[in-house]
Amino acid sequence: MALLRDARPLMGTVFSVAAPDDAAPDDAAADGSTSGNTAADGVAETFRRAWGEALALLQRIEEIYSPFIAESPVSRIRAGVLRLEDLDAQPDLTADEIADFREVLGLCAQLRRESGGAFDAWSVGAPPAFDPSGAVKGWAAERASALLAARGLPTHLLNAGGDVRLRGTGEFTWNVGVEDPHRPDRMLVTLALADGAVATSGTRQRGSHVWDPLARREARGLTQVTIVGPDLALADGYATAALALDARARAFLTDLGARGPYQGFTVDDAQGVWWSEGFEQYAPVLRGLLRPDAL
Amino acid sequence: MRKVLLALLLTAVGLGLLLSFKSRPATGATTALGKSALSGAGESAVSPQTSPSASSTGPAPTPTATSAAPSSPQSSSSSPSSPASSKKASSGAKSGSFTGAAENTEFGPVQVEATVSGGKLTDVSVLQVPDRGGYEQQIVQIALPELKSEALSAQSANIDVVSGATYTSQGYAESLQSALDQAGL
Repeated sequence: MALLRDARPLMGTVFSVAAPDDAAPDDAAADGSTSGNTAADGVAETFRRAWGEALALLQRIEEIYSPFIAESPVSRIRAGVLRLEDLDAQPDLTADEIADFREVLGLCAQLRRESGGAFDAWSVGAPPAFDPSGAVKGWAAERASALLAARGLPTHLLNAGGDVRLRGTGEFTWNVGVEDPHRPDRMLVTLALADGAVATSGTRQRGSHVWDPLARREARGLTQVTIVGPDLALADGYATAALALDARARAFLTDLGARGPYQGFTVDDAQGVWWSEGFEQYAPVLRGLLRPDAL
Repeated sequence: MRKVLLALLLTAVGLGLLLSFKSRPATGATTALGKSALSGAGESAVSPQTSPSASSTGPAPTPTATSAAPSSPQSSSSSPSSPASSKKASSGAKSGSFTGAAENTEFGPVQVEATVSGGKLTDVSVLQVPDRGGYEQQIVQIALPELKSEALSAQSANIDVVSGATYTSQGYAESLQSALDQAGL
């Protein structure tokens, strides 16, 4: 089985998509999105249309949430000309987009609460400013992936600049390589999962680019954090938060893994690699190894 | 002491990874090629990209007979074991080196060269990257190999996708796409 693939630059990185070229076209035809050519043509056409819709969604999300676009709602909030209480009155946002914006704010609040303030979209940079970018990319990819599934691609992967959402109906397993931050062309470990999200945050690709609001400096120490779990928006946020938590990341990830489905894998230049116990279900290669201590 | 532990742990994980690769049955003819391309990429990825080569000035395609592109001594010296680097493919697909357009990014122009053999992407070398001093140079050197590994691993039967830290890569992706367009991939 081969994969249909495409990639587009978006949100300062690359979004790429892949789906089996023999995906059952019956599912897609049920909602009328394909015409009756040969099966392969139907799959390719479904792929093309679904990806086109997902790209349009992602481009619109970038317009709304980019702090680099001067007139975006997020830029207006940062500039102090738009207050959150006035969101409903913005002519450039539809009712659905306003509801989405509140969902993103809720996601940011959840991540701030669960990370004990290590992830704080309201306190990014110096001087501190509102910047939900750390949550938006994963959330956007989660949305786009849901749209791809709804448009006839129940099995696909969506890679948002190294943060990946994988979907499947169980008969197909995706193999996800986790990059070795010290040798970016090699894989540190390979994960196998049919459905879920894999998010990786690191300090190397853009230098130390994660802001630690508690220490009021850019995060450093941990080199890379990978989170596996059902939802990419949360997985991405937890990875960012763990990186900012630095020395407290293992305790955070131990607790996270014990109370929910999100499992972590970290690379620390001083302390080596570490993973939460539940991470091993996705990484068979780790099962025979002695798991390093949490502290 | 801790560094030694780190090295041992990473080695253990890496060894396990290698073993898991070996125990996996090859599921397609592209597997061997993909793996050799990836291992060839291993050495070249960490070598610094120095000055733009002579062929980086124009966006015109520059197919050459073999894929060991003279414009990138690092990559050509690092992949002597690749079966793709010394063979001309005789299938319908083009083979050779294809120079992508120089894409302007906010940091400066990015230009890559794609090496194609037998209809498969076997290597990507960077001809031109923004030079804005140590920091940006460092970032570019780290980010580009990641994209390269993804471009190559996309053809590997073993790994569907790579999860890694965020890269800024617009110019790379666009230049690579234009090179692949020329190669008919």
